Amino acid sequence: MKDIFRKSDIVLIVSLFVTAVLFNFILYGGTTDRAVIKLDGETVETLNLSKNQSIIIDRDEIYVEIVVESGKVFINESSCPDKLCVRQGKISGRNQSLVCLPNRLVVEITGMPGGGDEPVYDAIAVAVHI
Amino acid sequence: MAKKIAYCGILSSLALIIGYLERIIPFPAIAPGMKPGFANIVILIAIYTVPKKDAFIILVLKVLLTGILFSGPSGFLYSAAGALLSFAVMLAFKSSDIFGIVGISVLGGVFHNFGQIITAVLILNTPKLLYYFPVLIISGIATGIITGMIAGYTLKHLRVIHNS
Repeated sequence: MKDIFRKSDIVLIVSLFVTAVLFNFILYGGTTDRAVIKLDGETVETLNLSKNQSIIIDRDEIYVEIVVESGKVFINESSCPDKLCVRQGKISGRNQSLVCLPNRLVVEITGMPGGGDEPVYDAIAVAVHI
Repeated sequence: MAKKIAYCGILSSLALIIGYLERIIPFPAIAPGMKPGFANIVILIAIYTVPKKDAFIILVLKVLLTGILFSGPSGFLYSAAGALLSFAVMLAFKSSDIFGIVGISVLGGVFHNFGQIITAVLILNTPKLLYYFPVLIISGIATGIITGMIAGYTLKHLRVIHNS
């Protein structure tokens, strides 16, 4: 009856551990996995950063080529006069963005469920301060 | 009868002292209010040596007295919730006899943490706290294993004393 360790204990521990890892992925994973392209503030396209790809936004006078490569996104070509957006280079971090004002275009890095408001442990601790 | 009262008394005071030491000795604050949970060693021993009612009384004493003596009313609420949930879960699984002491202890540790964080979420209205789940599970497992083994080996030797 009173064994200290049983096989079922190991099963329990392993499954709990796996659950923890899963939760970790669900909650925190994928927070920088996509780039949202917005024209005039409206989302027109969402790119998965894990897939190398390139997309061209071609409407009216707006011509912009957005490229995803090795998890980073950058603007390769743009119809704007100053090409500031092209010169901005590559972004990949949370909340980073590429902006092209003349074309009224914004490319933002964002993520899944956990994304949007990524909680920081310290911020929570401050809010709680038990 | 007197022996039983003395025994429970010892367990209760042990739980209190351990609870006190845990509060004094600083612990890396991975999550607010997280403590090693060694007091659970006593609760485990209680669960495995005395009837459920008595074990419950020891738990209540521990939570109440630790709360009154050592922490504010707010801290008390969270630890009480955690302790009660953990106790219920431990008893439930112990009677089903699926797990050994370490398994029960791990469940106790994990659910104690759950109880605390869920209470915090409800009271503080901060669902964001649930993001602590992974950490809580892991620390529950860790302290559960340690506490379980200590309790287990203590019980092995207690048996000898009881029978002599």
